[in-house]
Amino acid sequence: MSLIDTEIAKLRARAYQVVQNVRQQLVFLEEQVRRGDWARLRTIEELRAGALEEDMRLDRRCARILALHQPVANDLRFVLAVLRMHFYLDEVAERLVAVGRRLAEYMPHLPKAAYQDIPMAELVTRVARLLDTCLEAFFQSDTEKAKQIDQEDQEVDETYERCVHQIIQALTTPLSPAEAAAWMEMAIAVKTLEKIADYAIDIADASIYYTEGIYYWHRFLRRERQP
Amino acid sequence: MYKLETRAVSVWYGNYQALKGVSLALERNQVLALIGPSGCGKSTFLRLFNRMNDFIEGFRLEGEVLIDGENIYAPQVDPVHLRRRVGMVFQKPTPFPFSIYENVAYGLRLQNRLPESQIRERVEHALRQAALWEEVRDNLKKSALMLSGGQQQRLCIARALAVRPSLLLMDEPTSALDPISTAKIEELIHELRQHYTIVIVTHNMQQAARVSDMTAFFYMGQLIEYGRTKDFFTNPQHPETIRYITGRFG
Amino acid sequence: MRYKAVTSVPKRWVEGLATALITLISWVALGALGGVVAFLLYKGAGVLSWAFFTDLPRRGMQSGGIGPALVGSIYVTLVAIGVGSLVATAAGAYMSEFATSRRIVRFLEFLINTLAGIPSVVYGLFGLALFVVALGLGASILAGGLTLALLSLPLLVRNAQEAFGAVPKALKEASIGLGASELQTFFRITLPIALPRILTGLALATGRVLGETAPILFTAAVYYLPTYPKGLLEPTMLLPYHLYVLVTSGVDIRQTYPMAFGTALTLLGLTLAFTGLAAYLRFRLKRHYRV
Repeated sequence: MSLIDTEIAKLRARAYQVVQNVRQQLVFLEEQVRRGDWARLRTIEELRAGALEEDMRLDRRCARILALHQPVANDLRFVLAVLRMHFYLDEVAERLVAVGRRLAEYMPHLPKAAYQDIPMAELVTRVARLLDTCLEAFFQSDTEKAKQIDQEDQEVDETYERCVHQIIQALTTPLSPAEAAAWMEMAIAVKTLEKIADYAIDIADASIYYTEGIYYWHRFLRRERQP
Repeated sequence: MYKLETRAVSVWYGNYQALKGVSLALERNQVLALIGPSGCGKSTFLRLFNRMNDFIEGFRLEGEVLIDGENIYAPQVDPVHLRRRVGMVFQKPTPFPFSIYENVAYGLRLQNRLPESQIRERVEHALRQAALWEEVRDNLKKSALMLSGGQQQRLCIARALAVRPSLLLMDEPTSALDPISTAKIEELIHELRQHYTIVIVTHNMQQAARVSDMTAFFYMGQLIEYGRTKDFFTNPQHPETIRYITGRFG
Repeated sequence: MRYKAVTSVPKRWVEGLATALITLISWVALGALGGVVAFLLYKGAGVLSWAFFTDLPRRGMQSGGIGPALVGSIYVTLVAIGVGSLVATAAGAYMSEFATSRRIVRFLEFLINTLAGIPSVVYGLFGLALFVVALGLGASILAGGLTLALLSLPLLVRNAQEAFGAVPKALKEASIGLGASELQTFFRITLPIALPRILTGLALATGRVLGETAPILFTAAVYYLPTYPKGLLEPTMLLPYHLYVLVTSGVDIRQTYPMAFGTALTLLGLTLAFTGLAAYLRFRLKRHYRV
């Protein structure tokens, strides 16, 4: 195996580790939301903090490969794609913490009956599934999979719309200030989850870039389509 | 204890000072790359470790050069003995006009008489280490001059390894080779690191980046910067180093 | 081809003429050489026989053979080349490999160039003074051989020095780098690689030594001996001198002419043989020496 192959393999392994950390966060969020264990959800910050070191190591390894091995062609695109993916994953992880923190802070102010019909757990699950698909596409260099995520993306959008719709309805009922604030926070959390789905799609785009060498501005094009 | 250490080493050729107070230390099983513009003293520095500079008229040394903690310029050290512990690979492949087998056996035959069976064993082992065995196993009796340039250089590496040195010096080992042979030698260096400490002089900065653990930048006989290669190329400290490795020199 | 295209027409015409002239001149020169060989063959081939090479000269050298002269020449040449090659190889090795001072080497080179310019008869005189008289060897095979060795030394030393110098420095360094001492490097690398070139020089020198007349005149050669040489300290008949005698001082010169041509042909044959050997060695050297 040539030197650059070895280095790329190591980079891939490290990137995979970072991905696993973010997925772990997402799974944790999903589980606590499903259970309604808001107190436990607060510890999502610890998960994130524990993964920071590996995050930085991935960055350093990218810099190291670029500086020491001067990758070109597909190797170069892979390193660049990893950097992109890493950036998006970082955003995802930060937002997951934000969502977790909000929900942990405000959900206890609402009676369980008030929000049990809101498909928030479903939204988290769909986002998680979408992210998984995108990451699979990335690590398996599966451009077909990357190009066909529209279906899952739409499911996320639908679920998101339903959540928002129900939250707005809840806001039209008489509420105490604390309850109103909790609903608002829930709306923001839901919106943030939807944003995470966008980043997932960006990751899929990055995978298309490194396997085929073309900029596939999937998300951008889709926005054009639905103004 | 360091594998290699120099303490305030200065070298003169007649009135010309080639090295100015170079101090540096290298751990065992590391690859040290020496870089710098032509005439910066990196080759002189490399050749300190097997005392190849001794032959140059007007050579004079101050300071200490230590291998395994032993000063190799101490009066009781026999340079011939020293060179049996320190392998060297040169810029151009230098196979002797003998058979492949005899080339690798050359260093062994210089020393105490080994039985032929043992020599054969060591030749095979050295050729395997140099990743050449599979290519030449059926042609050991053929002239080494029949090999390609890259093969010849790997033969020279095998020849150096056969005497079981603990330290391997390489003086621009790939500058006469094509890119594919170069890549093979670089992989080889990477593997040899498991058993040897290697010092390599290279004009090719990228090569230094690829194969080494430590990098030393020489300029006008001085050691300007020395550090871990990954730091050296991502975050060099000295302005001269930055200008050199970014190609903004002169 | 590219160059021809840009050469103008008149220049090409001049070039053609010049090439033709050069070709013509070289053929004339070769023709002259061929003429000499043909002339000698025509005049001398008749007397060549096994007996001619082995028999003693008889009837005032008008018949018989050149046996003692041939054998004497071979002995003297063996002594000359044997001694000369050893001394010259050692000297060449010293000058190329072991001398530590450039100045000494330059001085030696100057001496050798001077020696090479001295006329051969002076060597003869020197040999007479040193070997024959001072060392008391008398006119003998040994004295003649040593004189010829002296004569061939400049050529041989130069040749050996160049042969050692032509061995790539990188190979010597590689050997030193592998832990060989300087002496080991010399005997295992430098000498074997330089050997073909040295042998080529030896072969050329042999051809030259065989034909030298002046140095042996006073040191080894006798006008006539009815026996084969018996030892190194005996004087002997020698081919070049024998030829001289046959041509200039026979009892009846016309009767000795065929013998003279036969002798000349033998000498030429021997010389050509050694030159040919040199050429062959050079050919071998080119094929095998590719470092």
